[in-house]
Amino acid sequence: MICPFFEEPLYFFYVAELPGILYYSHVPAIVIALLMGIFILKSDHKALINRLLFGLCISFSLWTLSTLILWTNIHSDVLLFTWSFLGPAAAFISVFSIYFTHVFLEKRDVSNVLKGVFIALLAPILILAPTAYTLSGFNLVNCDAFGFEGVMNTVYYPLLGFIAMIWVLALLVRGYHKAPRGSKSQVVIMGTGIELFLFSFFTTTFLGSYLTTSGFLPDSQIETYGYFGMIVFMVYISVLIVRFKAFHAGLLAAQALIIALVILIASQFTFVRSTSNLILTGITLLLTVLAGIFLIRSVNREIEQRKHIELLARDLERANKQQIILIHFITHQIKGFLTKSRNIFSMALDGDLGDVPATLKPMLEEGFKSDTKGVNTIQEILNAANIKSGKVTYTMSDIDLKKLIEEIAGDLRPAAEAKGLELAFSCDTQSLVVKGDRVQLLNAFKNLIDNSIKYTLKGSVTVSLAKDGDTVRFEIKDTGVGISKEDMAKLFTEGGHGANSTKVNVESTGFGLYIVKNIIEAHHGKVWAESEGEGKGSRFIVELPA
Amino acid sequence: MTFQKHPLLYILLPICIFAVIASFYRFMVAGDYVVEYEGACDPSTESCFVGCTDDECTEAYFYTKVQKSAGTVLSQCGPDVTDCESANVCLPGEADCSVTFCSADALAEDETCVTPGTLEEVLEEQGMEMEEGEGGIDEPVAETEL
Repeated sequence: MICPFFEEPLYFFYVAELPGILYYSHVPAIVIALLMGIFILKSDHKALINRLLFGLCISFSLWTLSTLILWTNIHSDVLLFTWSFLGPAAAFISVFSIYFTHVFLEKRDVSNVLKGVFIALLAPILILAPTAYTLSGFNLVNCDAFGFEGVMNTVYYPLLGFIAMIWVLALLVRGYHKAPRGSKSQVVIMGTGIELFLFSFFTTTFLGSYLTTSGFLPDSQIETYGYFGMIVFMVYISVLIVRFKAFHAGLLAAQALIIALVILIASQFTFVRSTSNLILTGITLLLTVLAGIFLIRSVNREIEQRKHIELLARDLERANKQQIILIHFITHQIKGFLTKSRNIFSMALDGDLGDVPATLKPMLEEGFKSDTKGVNTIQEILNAANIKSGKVTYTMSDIDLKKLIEEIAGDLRPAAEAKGLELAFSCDTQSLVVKGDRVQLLNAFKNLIDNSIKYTLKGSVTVSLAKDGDTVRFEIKDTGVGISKEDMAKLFTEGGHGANSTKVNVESTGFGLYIVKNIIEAHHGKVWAESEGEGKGSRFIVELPA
Repeated sequence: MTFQKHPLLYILLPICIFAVIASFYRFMVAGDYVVEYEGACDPSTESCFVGCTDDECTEAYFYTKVQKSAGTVLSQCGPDVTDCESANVCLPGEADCSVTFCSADALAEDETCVTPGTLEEVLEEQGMEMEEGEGGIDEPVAETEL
């Protein structure tokens, strides 16, 4: 049956009397969603997330194409056949949105129970699509079926759309809180895109259908504005692809974006009427095509460079790992030899190997000292390597920091006094308790005090400890060689020697302050250095939560 | 590709295929649905709804509201109900068929009724003229059965 008051469309879809916005909203939305879906599936057709986004795009394109047919066709049988699948297409959009969000956030497939829920939600609307619960008749005068829509079209699928919006929102809120700091912005971008799409799509289609059925509006043209939501969603997806390399899409996203932009501008020809506007639109289209070609080329170049850098980074990481393994092997071996030799010196000095001639004793003492320094140096390198590879574990307990610093100062005072330095320690409270790993903190503070002694040739080293609100502040001030601006930048880095540091301390490994920084940060504290320059002394400050 | 791995595909794809085939058969082949259109009405003998032929509503035409099975209309008139007399009446024994004449119960908002006695009065009130041949979709018919 044909609608007697409407004209047959030209080329199946074109009706001159229809408002231009109809084509402007439908055609780009269909093509953009289709292109994006196909491009993303082509990028990695085995990835579930890509398949789901493809499904979502296809469902949306089918819906939009169907509504374009409903607007332009005048055959009741074709219209009803097409109309009967609007509900299932919308239901698929809802379920694909939920499924997509789940997989995007969890990075894995959903459980079979949840798949069962999806089937339970989709099956009724599919099974009842050919029945009167969906459509029972057709109005030839208005050329629509608004007055003959059953419960599946008036209640079920709009309700499913609403449920999808809430479900997706709940998933996003939970996903945002669970996501690591670096991934939160991805959740926000995808979440905003999909929620904007669902909201604009379901709200306008529901309002269009409801207001037309109840006679408030002559037709459901309002729903055409909802299709722009898909374009917005696709832009957000493109941002995810370009910024976070999501969906393994790369260059395809840039191509899809340019094609989409060209389609969007070309669609303006459907409603532009004046010659000047036609010329302007033509020029804009041409410029966009040219700019697009340049953009795709430059994105391609950038992607190639990025791939090259990634390859280099992987090689570097591999080389680093091998280097760490080598360091561990060598240092362990050398440490073993040095320990053995030190033990022999120790036994000889203790008289365990019999009487030692007086002339040999100073030599044995020198050997013992040298081996002890060697073992300590190797231990420092090993500690730094362990910290770097994340092998260090911290056993936290309550520690009286005042007692710990006093102990370290007591141990190091003889070395300071031997150099003619004064080592002073002050603390304004009885005790200062912090939570931390005793061994590691002892290592860190010993390193700082020992450093100050080593780099101070004359004068004094002053250590102070105080509580400042919720933090404990440790400060060590010396009258030593000071730190230049250039050296300050390298200070806490791995193997970061100052320009003059090796002149003063030839045995410096450059790992000491790197270890200190890592230990303090593992205790949620911070450490930094201050100096007015070379020869003007320096100050190291550590702040730890009390 | 096992059922365990892709239950959605294994269950929903057959249902989708079934739905497409069933819907195609119902709407495209069997014409198993109701069509509603405006039937011809003679205001000199029947109570008719009044419609306008143009946006300014200077000319009037008269109609009844007809609901019929699409399959029946298709066999009686072909795809176009215009100029088909059988489209305006319910034939004896015809199922799913109704012709609604204008009455207080059937009158919706923005609709006007005209009865044999009030024809000229209504047209004058609305500032309308009668369309030539003044029927609905078709020329007026002699008999109308409910």
